[in-house]
Amino acid sequence: MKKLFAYLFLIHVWGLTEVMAQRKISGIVTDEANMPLVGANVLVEGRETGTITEVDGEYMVEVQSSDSVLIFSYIGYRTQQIAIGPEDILNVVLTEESTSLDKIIVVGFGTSTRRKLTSAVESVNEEVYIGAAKATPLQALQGRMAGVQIIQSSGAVGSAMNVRIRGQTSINASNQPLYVIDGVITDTYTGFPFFGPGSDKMIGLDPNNIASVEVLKDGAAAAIYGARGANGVILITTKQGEFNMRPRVELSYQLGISEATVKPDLMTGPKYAHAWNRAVEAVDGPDNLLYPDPDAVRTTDWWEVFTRTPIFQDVHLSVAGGSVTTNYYLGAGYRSEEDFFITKGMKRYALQAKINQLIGDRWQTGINLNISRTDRSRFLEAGSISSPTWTSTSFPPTEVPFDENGEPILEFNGRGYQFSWNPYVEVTETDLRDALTQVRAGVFVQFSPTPGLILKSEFNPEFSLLQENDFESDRTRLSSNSNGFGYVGTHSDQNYFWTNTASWTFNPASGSELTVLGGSQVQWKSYSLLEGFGSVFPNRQLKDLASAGNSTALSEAEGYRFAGFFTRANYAFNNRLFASASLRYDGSSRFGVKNRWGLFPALSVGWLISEEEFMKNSAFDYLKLSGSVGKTGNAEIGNFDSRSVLIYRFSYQRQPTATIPTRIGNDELTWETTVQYNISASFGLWQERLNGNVSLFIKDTDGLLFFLPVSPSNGVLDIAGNAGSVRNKGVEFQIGSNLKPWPNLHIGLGFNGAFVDNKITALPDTDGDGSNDDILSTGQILRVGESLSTYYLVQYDGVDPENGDALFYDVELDGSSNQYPSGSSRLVKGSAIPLFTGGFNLDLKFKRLFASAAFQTGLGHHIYSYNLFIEDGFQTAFNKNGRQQHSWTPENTDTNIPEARWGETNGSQESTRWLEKGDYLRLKNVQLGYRLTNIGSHSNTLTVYLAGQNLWTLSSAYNIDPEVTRISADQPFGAVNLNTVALSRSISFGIKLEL
Amino acid sequence: MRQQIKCGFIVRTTGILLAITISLIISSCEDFLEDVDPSAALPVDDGFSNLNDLELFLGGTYRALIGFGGDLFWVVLPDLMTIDVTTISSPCPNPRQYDFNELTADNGFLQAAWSRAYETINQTNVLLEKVDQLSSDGIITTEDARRLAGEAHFLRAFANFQLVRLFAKPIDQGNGGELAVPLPLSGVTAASELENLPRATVSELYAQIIIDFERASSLLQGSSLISGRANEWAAIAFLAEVAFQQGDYAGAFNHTRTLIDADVFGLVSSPEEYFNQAGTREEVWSITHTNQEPNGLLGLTLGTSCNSVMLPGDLYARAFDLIVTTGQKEVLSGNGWSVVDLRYTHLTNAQPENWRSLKYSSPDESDNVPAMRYAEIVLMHAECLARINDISGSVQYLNMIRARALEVYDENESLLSDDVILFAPEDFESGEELIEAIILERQVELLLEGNRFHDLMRLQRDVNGIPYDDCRLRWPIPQGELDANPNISQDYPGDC
Repeated sequence: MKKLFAYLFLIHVWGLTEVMAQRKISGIVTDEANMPLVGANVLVEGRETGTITEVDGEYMVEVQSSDSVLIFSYIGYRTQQIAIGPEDILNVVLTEESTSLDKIIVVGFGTSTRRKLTSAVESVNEEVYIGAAKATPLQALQGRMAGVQIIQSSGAVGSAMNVRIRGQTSINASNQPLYVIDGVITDTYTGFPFFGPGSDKMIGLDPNNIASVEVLKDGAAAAIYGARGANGVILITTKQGEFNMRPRVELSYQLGISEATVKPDLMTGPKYAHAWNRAVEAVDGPDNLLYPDPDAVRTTDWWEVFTRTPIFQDVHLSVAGGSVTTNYYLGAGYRSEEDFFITKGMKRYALQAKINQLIGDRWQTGINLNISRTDRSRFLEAGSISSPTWTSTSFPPTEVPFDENGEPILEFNGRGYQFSWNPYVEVTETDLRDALTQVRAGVFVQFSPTPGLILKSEFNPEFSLLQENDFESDRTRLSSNSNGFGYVGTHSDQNYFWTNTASWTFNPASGSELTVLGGSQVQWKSYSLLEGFGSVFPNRQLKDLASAGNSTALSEAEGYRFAGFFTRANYAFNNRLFASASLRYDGSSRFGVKNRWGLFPALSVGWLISEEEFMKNSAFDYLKLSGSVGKTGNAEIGNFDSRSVLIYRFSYQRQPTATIPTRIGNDELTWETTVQYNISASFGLWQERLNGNVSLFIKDTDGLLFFLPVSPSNGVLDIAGNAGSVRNKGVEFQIGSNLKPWPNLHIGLGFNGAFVDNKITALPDTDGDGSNDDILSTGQILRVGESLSTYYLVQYDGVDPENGDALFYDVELDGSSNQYPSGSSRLVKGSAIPLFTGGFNLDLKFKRLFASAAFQTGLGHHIYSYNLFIEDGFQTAFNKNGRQQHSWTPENTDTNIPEARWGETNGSQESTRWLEKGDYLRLKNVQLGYRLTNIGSHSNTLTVYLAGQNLWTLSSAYNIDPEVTRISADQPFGAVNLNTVALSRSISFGIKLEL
Repeated sequence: MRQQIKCGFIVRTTGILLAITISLIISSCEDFLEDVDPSAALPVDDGFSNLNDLELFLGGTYRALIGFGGDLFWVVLPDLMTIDVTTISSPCPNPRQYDFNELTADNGFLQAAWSRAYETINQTNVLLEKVDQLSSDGIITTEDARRLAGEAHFLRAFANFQLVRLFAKPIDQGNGGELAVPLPLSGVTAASELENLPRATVSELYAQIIIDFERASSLLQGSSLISGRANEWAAIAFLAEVAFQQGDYAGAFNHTRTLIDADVFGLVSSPEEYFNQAGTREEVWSITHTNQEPNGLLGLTLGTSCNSVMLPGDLYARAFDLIVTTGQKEVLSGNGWSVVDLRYTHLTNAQPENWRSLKYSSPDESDNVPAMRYAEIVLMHAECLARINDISGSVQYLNMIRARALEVYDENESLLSDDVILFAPEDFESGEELIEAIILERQVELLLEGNRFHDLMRLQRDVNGIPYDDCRLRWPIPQGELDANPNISQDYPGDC
């Protein structure tokens, strides 16, 4: 984007040239970052004479009175012709040649430019990673791209990212986009980890090695990925060297500290004791209080017990360069990051090597190797009532973790105690770790028999090994009966891709270009699982199954295959009209024998209006209209859901058995298809002082991959089928502005946002009555006309001031309130999907200082907070939140918090009482830095910066982080917050040395 | 002209070659896509070729009884509906609904129990069809066919018996027209075989259950006794229980008499022995568990999770303390003697403040679930005798259970004869009085074995203050079935 900021800066340009004699004109030539350009050419138009600029960019040239124009040129920069005015001093800013229109953009199986692009593709380059959160490549992209929602599933270090591109389409299949790293579809999901998928798919990829990330948003861009492109495609391109480039060394280091963004508001011991006394008194009368002297009750701040101030550091070293025939990139990185929750964290080691070799004029070959190892120590994450992430910090504050001898107390008993175990022991004596070793490799050979024709064959193997280890000592809750529990799991993946392409580019006429691409791609993937379980351990030091008194093992393997053929033609006419058509034919082993293959066409056109004669003198630098339609598919379901099988997984009396699975096969199963229509307009005005893009899209998804429930009295629960449809329609915009109010100050502003209207348009008719049927899940509903992730809850109507009863809206009582509403009183109550998502960023540059800030927002959605359900209820002894101090009492009747009643569900059933507004605005990233240049040599730079993440948040959600949700990454029932870890806020210092 | 022909030839040849190439590529791709299989599954058509396949599938039929919603649910949850078993102080919603008799159709436990029962039934239906097929094709012997079919009939009857007692109105004699549950009799292995069955009536269910148990007992005649597997005697024992449940005490008498006379089973020497050791003489039929096939519900009976259940403290006064009658207590205290009930000391943790049953307490969840044990036969027989006023005959059987469970000690802690706590016929003024003693004995002996609730139904007594025929004591048809099956509705009267 910064390149857009550049514009010509003239002291004086116009006015009639006076008749003058010979004179000297001097000035400074700089680049857009105000750096002097050494050795730039300065020529007088129409003559041979000229000069080159000196060390500080200064020049001096003699002109005659008849001369009218000076020509400034520099390699890699756009040549400027400047009329000579009356002034003798002429300072010039040269802009880099690649303007925003000509910037290279990576697309599926090739590259394009903004000028030629006819589909919706969003692009960011490596600059976003300076000073950004770098645990996974996706964190730094949050809030940067219109219509691309990136949400972390949990604040735990390295946890999975949920990405939604232009809304959510699928119900039972995944909604995650397709990830393509250096041209290879990367499915690093490793089998079925015992402790949940947990970590982000991209965790092994060091963001420091990334050159650019492109997001293919519309159907036309994604259709070249056919059956797997329906959720959009994220293309990640790693760095590489260039031919004829002297070695460039980059060393960067970042060190930071962090803390949780949200510390729950919970009660101290005395407040807690008072609250419980009120709750007990309300039920049992005043004679049976739990805490006779509540003010004397001690306080343990369990939050303090379980949290710390963690540090993280990130080191990266790379060398890139190239000779006439070879180029290379080598990168090595290390990151360690602690979690604010004690004992947890991650370490990543990543190596990247990329070498390309020219062989003669026509052949090229290359190899790309990425090896990484990510070690994490973790805990059972959100979504589990036994997850220590939240329940431990909300343990009754009246208890202490240790006895007077410093030994942990092993059993707590009290009224309403959900657990008797000591959460401190639970956390510190559960040792759950995983280690992910990934090798991603690629080799290719490329042959160009004639100019314009390129034949390429590429083979990409990918191996990953996830090792999980868990040990729970005999003092923990789950294994106290089994004298310790141990688990070892090895999940190994092998993934092979073989891609062959031929592309032919030629110019049928001047200004016109035709590129034809054809290719095939096959993938075969297998994963296997080997796991062991042990119990009865001799002591707490010996954690391996070798020492277990009792152990068992099992292994299992699965796999899937894809095969596809594709072709695409791009036509550019006269540099102003562009068209692209593509077709992919894809088959997958996942689908029924009758419906295995599918055809995915796409067509897009663009018109660069600003190239037309009538626009030549307008304020527009460019103005472009484009439209597209494309069909894509989603194949992200189980590998064998289409097949009728018997499973041989369970034994009886230690003998193998055969059983009919609860999901039986359907040989007509096929992919769900999405047809997306897109219209975009993009523009640059006044030397790109203002630029922007507006897109309208409609995304129709049909034949959703659906687990269709059948009558359980068949002995079967569901079948996989295609049913139902979803429509996402929306508007996306991106507006940028580059201002230079006075010399040396650059101000860049960017604002992006997307309104997406998500609606279910059809659902399966499971009961055969001819109409769409609602599908209910706890607290949520799928219903035609509503969005996915719609809440379906009884409406909480506050408190009866007379008696402190919680009241709910009762549909059957004509809407009057009732303490126990009838069963059919649930109502549609908003959605977990934000209506608007967006971001705002600000970039400032003043001489060598730079500063930036990026905000992210999501509006118009709700979060269902199970945390509040636990904190507000008096059936369990968990600590109560601060607002419980204001519950109804005979003295305090004007409140919306019902009377606390020990053991009773006075208001603590599922209802809108726990539904929090999800709206938030968060300062994701802020930076302040200083860039030193010319250290020893012109090109050496040293950058130092301070950066902050998540420093400020505006949200009305109580006691939870609005940005994290439990969402199982793939399913539609989202935004339920249960024991999720809040994101952390951090401050870091970094340096980057480029030689 | 000549050139045109040549050109056409080339175009045509190229076209044909291209077509062949493409079709070759596509067909090899088809093979490429086909050639991937799960490692722990086989295509359903490959799974029924020979006797071994059928044996594996029979094993899977037993396996379907095990797990979440399976056998232990059927013994624990009905008891939880009575006041003899309760939840811990802060229950999860599912067990809470059972404990408080507030069951709703979306209760996760009852949905799971329903699904698992029908998984079992579907396995039996498929098995019966395949046994017929392979037997008529001459692939398996008649003898094997009889055994496999016998076990299938047995398991189908067992699952239906659980369903009809829990999800339907109790069968009162002469009235079985109430709608019960679906009664599938054909197997489903493919999407095309799916059905939406309506609810059959209570009498249709009982008729099918009796047919299946009778067929099982005749088909399994003479087959060997294997722990954990159905046998002819177990089928007869269930016929007794089915009759008992219907109040047909004459029928139950005949079946229990047959079992006692057969002398295949007997009581083991102490009450806990049966629970600590598989395959004892007392085991008529149990559903077996190992650490490979855990009952999955350690948390339910022993754990501290919100799902777990416990014994209420007042159960001691209501039941355990009454086992020894006031008269017997006077004799004991007069002599300075004391009595120990082993069912209290060895099958519970004997801590009334935090009282737990130890019947399913092995750490690896490998306790077998006593679907039918000889003690129950003995108690059924005793009650049948009492009901025909054979008091001395009845007392003899009741004393077998008491003699095993109760130990009498003198003041020096020396074991004495337990004659003092055994009953004599003259202890009872009427059959009714004796029947009450037997019912009390059942309450203690068969605690947490899924008997008490069904006893109360049979005796038409209140459960937790709720009349026996009140719909709050029925498990509602699960929401999943109501949602998916248009031919089924919940038809409780308006008061529920």
